[in-house]
Amino acid sequence: MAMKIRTLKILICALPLLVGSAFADAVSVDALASGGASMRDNQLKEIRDVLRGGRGGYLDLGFNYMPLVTQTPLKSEYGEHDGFAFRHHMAGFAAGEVKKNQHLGFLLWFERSGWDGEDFILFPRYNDFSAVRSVTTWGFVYTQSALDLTFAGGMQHQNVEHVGDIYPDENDSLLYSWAHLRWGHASVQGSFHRSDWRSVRISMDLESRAVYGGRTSGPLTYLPNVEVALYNGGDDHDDSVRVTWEQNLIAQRLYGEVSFDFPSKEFHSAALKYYPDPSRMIGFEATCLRRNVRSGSADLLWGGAIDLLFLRLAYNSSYEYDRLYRAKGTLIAEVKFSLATIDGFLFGRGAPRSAPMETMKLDKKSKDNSKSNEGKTLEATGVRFEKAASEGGDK
Amino acid sequence: MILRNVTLFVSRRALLPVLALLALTLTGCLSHWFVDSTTRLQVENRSKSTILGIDIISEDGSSVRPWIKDTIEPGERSRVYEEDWVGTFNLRIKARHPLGASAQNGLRAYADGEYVIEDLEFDGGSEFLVVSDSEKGPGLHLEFK
Repeated sequence: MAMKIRTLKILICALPLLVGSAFADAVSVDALASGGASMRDNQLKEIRDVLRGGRGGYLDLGFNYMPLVTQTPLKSEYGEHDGFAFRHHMAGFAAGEVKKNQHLGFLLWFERSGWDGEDFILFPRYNDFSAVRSVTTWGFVYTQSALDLTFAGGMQHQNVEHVGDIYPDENDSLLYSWAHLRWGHASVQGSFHRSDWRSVRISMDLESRAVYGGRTSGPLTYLPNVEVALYNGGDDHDDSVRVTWEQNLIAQRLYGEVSFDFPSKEFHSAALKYYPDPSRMIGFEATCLRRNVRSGSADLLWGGAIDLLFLRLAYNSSYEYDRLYRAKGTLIAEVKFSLATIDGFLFGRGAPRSAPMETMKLDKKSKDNSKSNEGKTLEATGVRFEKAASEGGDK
Repeated sequence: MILRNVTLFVSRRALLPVLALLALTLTGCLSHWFVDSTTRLQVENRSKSTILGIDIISEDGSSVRPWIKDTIEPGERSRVYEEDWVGTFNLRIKARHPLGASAQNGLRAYADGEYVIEDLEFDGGSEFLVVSDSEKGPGLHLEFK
């Protein structure tokens, strides 16, 4: 009897996985072949978000976890190969004040992703059909906080670790340079390969954000964040433009986001995101994405995701579709951690407000040498935050 | 004292998630316990025909990747070939059939046949394929054992 119940429990636990993988669609060779350009662009976009203040720090770590080989198979000319689309990423940024109002910082973004027969982090399988690529972005950041001015620049390395012969030829080591200029709410970002531009991103982050000294409420927090990204199509394609509009809908907790592509004048994606707290450590999102498969309603991919500080669960969400080689039809889990800080306040990337913290309580409890406490509060705030939450639950 | 108890309680509670997280960091290792990422194929020829080779052929038939590179005479076994074919593919078998009694001048007549088995699933690991003559008429009978 006990055995039966145990088997039943295992079955119930495995059910979502089975359902999740039964309708899983394969990732394509095309999506993997063009992965490098989108990896570089995504990193620059994240850097834009983190450099909105131009100082403070940021830490990010994460990897996708898929237990079944049938969740993201690869579709090649030979058939469907069992295996894993995977993505390992980490990022860090830290800046310090070198002179009054002058901050110097360094940032490093790293991502390794592709498709492989196994998704070991340390021991890749590298089979005949694998494609594994990595992109590293680094750069120096200078911020004049009195003028609210940031200048950053550095290099981007795109390296092919392993590529099977079913993929088109690719340069195994490409070097790009990038530069970022921000003045107040406006920023311009450029990516270059030798003397040729690859992309230009113009952002107007008009929304007033409390973390960067803005308002916590009021009409100024309802101003939109508009992004215009231009991409060089190279010799074969036309240059393209993607316009993204992010809009605070309710009290910096509910956001809408729409993006359109030009010159095709086509809808690309839309998202509705709800953050229970404006610090964006936890989020829920519903997304809709156009897949460009040209078959009417099947073009639209509806999905959603739950983002908890350490774990993200997504099904057909646009974030995963764009970053995991158009993987869809399966439940994708990501073990992750990501946190930004400025002046000792903590918040998620792109958040308008910091997490509520109970620094006052801590000051009261540790009575001895209150002067040196200032340095300690910064380190202890994260711990206090968790403990304070559990105390609140007891009451 | 109370604080210490709380810490102990929390650490015991935290043990399971920490262990789970440790297990998760091994990602592929977990599935590797019950999933193979290569297929090792050996073929035994119990038919009267000679098997000239076994390949994976692309869906449109335009490209071929050899798998079993041996010529397997009737009653013989091939060597074991390990390849990255895990998933669903089209298998092609090339065989040479003897045509009845031997012809004049000591020359033997034969006919070459090519068989494609579509959407064959390989889950990885060891596969032993036995090829015999089809009982339903001319052709080959395949059985994975």
